[in-house]
Amino acid sequence: MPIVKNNLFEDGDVPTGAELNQPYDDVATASGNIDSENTADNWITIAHVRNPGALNQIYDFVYDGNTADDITSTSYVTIQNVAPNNSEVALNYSPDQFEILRVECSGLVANSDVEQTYDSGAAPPNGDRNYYAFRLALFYNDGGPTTQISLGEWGYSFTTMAGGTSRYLTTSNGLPQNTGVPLAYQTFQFSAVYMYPGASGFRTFEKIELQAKVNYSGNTLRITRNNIIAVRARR
Amino acid sequence: MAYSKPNTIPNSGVLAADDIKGNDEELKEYVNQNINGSTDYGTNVFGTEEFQLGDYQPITNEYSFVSGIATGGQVIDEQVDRGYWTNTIKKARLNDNTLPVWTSIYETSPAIYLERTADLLITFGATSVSAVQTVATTGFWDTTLKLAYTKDDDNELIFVEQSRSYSFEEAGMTSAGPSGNVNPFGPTGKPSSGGDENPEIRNGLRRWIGWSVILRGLQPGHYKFSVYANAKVEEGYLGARQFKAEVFYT
Repeated sequence: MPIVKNNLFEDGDVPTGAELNQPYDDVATASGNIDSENTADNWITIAHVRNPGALNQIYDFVYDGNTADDITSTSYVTIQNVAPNNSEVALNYSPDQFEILRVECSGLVANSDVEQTYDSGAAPPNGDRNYYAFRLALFYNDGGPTTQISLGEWGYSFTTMAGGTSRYLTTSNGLPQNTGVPLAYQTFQFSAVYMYPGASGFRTFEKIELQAKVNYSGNTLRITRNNIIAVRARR
Repeated sequence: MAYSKPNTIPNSGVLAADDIKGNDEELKEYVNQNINGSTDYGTNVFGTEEFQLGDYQPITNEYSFVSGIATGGQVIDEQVDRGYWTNTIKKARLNDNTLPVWTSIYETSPAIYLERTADLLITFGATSVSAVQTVATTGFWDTTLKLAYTKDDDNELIFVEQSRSYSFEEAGMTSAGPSGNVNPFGPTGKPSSGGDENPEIRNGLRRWIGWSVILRGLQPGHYKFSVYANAKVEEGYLGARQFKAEVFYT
């Protein structure tokens, strides 16, 4: 449908002023609200985009030093290499409905101190002491108190050992006995995607924390460098 | 500001040519140079179909989007695709911790041109193998792997510590490793001497290395990225690997 109309005159017609004014008036009307109807597809290039932050936005936390954080907790605790700085990335924005939050995370496990590595489905004490895990926790509020949800959990093992209840590090001398190879100085890496289904402007994302735990408090998980990268994919 | 016709044509009387010409001139000027993005464009009216289509550059293996650039590559563990590193250039000081010689690893090195200030997200994953070490005492020597880059004509390598990772020499592990290297076996200093089979040890050392890094506020210009190895073995390589770089223009 044409936005700017042009009257068709034939020889001998006497145009009225309104007819002659119409194309100009149509342009004036249309030009006050240019939208997708009167622009070409694919016209928006990088030069047209507001600078900065019109498209995706990135939030990050980076610790790239050598100071290890020792994790001995059997419930998730936030990694903190240098007090008082937690491994967390501040968000502080309200997502639109169905907006996507993408999170990338990685780090380095250093010389973990491993005492027991039972590796089976049996109940403690012969349970799954070989494992440790990471969690990305998203903190948000809906106008009230802060709430926490998990974006995902990722598990790793201290040794290469496969199952069995009799293969473990002994507690008496701390040395590996009939066990797999201890794994240290290895990277961890994972990512997550979260879609916010609620109403636009209702929820506020506060932060994302990188947390870790061990399954047995006698084992010490040592984490050095780590980072969290959050990408807000705007509509 | 929206177009506004300077002259209104009256309903009666003789039509003045200047009225028509004036309106047309103003219209030409508006269409050609005066459309204002902040006042004339409607709000919340454009969709993704208005964005410029992505543009693939086969020579550099880049995809250019309005929001930035995406590039990368991946290979499986075919021998011809491996990215080897070696330490023959400092053979006399093969395991010296104070003499790093950084080798760029094949197929992990895109060159990126940034049109404007950008954030760069790189994700990397690889199988690393450190195979041969005949110069020094056997003992899981640690080859350090890091991302680094150069900018424009400056050849100085800028290392990204967020990516620090290790590849360990594969060897018979019945004793603690030599001093001066990172010990992959933690505080006990050695793996089991009582019953570990060699395949277990090899598999424990041949690990997948993975990291993501973020570089904020990179200035416009040419960047050359690569994963570098400070080799402590005479033959090591990355097998299967993937490298992805995503540019987010800010």
